[in-house]
Amino acid sequence: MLSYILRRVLNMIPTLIIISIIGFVIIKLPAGDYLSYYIAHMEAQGFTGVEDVVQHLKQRYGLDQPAWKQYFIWITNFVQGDFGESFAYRKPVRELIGQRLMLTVTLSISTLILTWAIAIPIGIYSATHQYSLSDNIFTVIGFIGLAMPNFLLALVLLVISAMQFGKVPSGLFSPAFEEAPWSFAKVLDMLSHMWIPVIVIGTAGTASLIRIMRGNLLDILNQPYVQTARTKGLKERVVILKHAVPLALHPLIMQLGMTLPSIISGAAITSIVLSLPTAGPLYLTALQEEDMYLAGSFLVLISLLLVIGNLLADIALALMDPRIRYE
Amino acid sequence: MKNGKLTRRDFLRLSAMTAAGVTAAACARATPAVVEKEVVVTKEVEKEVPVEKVVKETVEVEKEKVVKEIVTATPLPAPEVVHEAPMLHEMVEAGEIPPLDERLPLNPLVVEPVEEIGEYGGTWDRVFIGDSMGWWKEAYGVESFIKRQRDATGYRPNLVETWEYNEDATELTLHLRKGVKWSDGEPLTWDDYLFWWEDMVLNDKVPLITPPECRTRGEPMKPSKIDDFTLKLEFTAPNPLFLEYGSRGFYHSSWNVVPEHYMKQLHPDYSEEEEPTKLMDRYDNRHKYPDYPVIFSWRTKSFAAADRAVFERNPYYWKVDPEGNQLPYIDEVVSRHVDKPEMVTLKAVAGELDCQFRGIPSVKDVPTLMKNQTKGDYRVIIWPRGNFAWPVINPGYNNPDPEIREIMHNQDFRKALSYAEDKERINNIVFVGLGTPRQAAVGKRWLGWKTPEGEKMLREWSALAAEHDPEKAEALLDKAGVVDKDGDGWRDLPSGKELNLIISVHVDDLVTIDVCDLIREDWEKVGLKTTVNPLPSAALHEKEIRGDYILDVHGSACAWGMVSAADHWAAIEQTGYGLAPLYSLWYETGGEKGEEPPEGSFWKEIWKWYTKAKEEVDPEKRTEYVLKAFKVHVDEGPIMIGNVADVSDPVVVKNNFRNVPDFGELGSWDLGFPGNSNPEQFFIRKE
Repeated sequence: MLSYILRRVLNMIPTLIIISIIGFVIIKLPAGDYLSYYIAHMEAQGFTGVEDVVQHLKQRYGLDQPAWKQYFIWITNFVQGDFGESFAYRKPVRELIGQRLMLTVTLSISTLILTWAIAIPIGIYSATHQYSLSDNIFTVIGFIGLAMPNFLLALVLLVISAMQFGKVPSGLFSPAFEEAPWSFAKVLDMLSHMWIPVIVIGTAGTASLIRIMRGNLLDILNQPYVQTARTKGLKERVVILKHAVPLALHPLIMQLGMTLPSIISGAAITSIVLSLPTAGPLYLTALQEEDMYLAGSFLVLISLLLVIGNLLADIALALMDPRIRYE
Repeated sequence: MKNGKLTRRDFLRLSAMTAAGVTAAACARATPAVVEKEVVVTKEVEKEVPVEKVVKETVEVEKEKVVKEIVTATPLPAPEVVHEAPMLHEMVEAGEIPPLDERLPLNPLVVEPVEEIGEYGGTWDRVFIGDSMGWWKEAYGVESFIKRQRDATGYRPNLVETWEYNEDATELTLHLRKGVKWSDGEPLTWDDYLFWWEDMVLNDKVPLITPPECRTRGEPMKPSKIDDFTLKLEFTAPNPLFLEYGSRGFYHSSWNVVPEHYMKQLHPDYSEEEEPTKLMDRYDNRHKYPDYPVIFSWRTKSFAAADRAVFERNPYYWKVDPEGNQLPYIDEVVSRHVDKPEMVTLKAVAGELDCQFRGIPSVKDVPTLMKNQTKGDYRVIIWPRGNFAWPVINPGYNNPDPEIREIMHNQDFRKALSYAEDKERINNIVFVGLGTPRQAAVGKRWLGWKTPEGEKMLREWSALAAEHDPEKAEALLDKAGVVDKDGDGWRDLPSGKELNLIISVHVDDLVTIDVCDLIREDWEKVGLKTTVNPLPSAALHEKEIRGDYILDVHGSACAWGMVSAADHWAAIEQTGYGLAPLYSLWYETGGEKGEEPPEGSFWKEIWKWYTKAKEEVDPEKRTEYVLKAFKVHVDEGPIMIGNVADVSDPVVVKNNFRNVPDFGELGSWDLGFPGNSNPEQFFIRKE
């Protein structure tokens, strides 16, 4: 097991290097760079003749160097923990990402917990009560949830809220708490704002998890060993919760590994619609503005999480299922 | 205190105010302080140009008032008349800041309120999109030497009180308002301006260019300080528009006055900093730094990028209302970041915005906004944008393909493009009928158009190939040799090469993309193959400055005579939005870079008149020269192709948010609105 993990970790390194190179190339691919964006932006505001300033910035950020050199400078600093400076914000990338990461992670993990807490019991119930009225109701709700795009749900909630209640649920805090230091009251305030994004982001996930859970459990309930358990006279509760459900969770755990990167980027569209100060919108603007180091850092962080997530999922599977062996 | 609820902050504020009031009453003395101060009321200048003719009248307002107070107040210890905000008065009592008359200049600028004398207090809630906060800077940062009138006609004194030119406009003497202070209490003198000029603009270590108004014929101006408040500027050639050019938006003279004492700490010559990076960042992004001293009505209290910014009143602000109350009336301005324009509309409808300019994405929202006025307790004021085209279509005069260049220089071809467009349809579909379909004659409210000759020319230019006439368009295309040679149903270039009219447009400019799609339909009807190509800023700008486009469009294009965005019609500076960037570069660098336009082309004719106008001292003659340049546009035009002009912009204002004028011009940054509407005299009425 230990050697397996070690091997996987070593394998991660070339993967990440390749990802970072491809990512860097993609970011650099469109014509122009952040500075041409900057000039266009300044001109749109009325400033003209910013070329001198731009020339200076070019040297400072090494943008007059060939692309491979720029990559090399960036990646060597990156592994030492210096993610570079964002052009657009003129601030260290670390600081920018750090600011928003905590809120993002809080939001994503709350969503994740909620999704699982709702989806697994309903999935189990649906599977054990196949084709009953309540199963059908859950199925219909599930399909609606799956079919409805997040951003649309967010917009609908926004419009209803603005038109009917005269209040737009944007951001994560009330004005009174925006500047306040962290306190119990502030956490409560955040929770009272968080339910809308959590519902919006969680709906599709919950719906799909219900379907997966139900399908898997139905498969497993027909397996001979479940029959054996029943014939041994075990209680139905024990049969399902102890013998069937853990196996039905396999695909969910695999999916959990894939969810890790989306903790950073997943809810981007919803966050944009709801104006949440999370990392997703920042990543998107960084890509649009060719804010190279900011976008690059996001990309590598997300890939890193994806790779780690997969590893964790594999380990978790091994722990849950003694039949799985790694050589 | 929205929705009638008392939040904790409101409670604190209220209690603070009550406390202040009680303290003020308790501390009142029998003899109120007599403020001996002259208040200068300036007369409005009727015309745009002859700035030397400013007339001043001195009226002693305050003294008289206070005397009256003494008569009625003597027997009882009545509260003294306080001409400052309660929060500042409290600070004065606590000894944190000096009393009001030490904070105000000798002659504070008196700002006439739009509706009435306001009341102090309140928070102005607004939102911003993106990171630049440009429209907030355009509201509070327009403190240029002189300012445009609220109706956008002439100018009025601002930071500079009076000024004189010599006869040929090569020497200008500026008199700074005496006793103006930075928001940290340091005095403002011409040294602050000279620091910017000598240690930033002229210093090679600092990458800052000379603004166009500060150079004549390529030579920088020569300033000499006579005393702290008098400055003489010498130019190598007549520069009669120095002050007007300098009053464009927030980014000219208002941005060029920098706090020397603060900037020295970051300047490579005076500090340990090796690079000017920090200095330049403070210069460009001063609104992000709470410690940066300003002369604006509000100063930064906190700034979180792409999240939230708070501005609080500047205790040293140098303007008062006619009763002598120090401005601004509003305590705090809170700007919240939103990612999408739809959110702005929703917030407006829900009544969460106190006053919002240019945050509303498009004129299309006007019906929605109007419908919900009562529910959201706000009003919608319609301000014109003053745009001459939405979008303006710049033909690819500098396209690398000589055949494209040639066809774009063919007047018949350009006329055909314009005739083929159904401008009325664009106006009805995209602008809900709130614009005017016409040719791209610049700046309708420009004062030069007011002469009989000007009026005629404005009419001619506006009507030039403006009607929808597909048959005429087809005839003109045939005449230009743009006919279908290979029988595929699309017209080709005269040589037989395929012609695809690719329109480059900014990917985020959804309104303009809508217009382009309609134009594509119209052009395809006359057999011209058209493609709309939305591009992100960086890629678009790369193409634009190289002239590497077939057609390039810009939404809401604005220009105003000589003073604002002449690049739109004269090809004088290599910008993304201007005409023929390579020719422009040639003119800009005096022939060093770029490309020379062909001899005898209309480019040189326009330049001739533009250059003459720039140095002309007599305003009437100047107008005449500009009209001569515009005549070239009428005779040879359309040189840039217009669509729908004079579109309106909704301004959303809460009903208790007062003193917002009915007129302003929001399209062009150069005109400096809403800054020129004096946001410092806006106030929130407590109900």
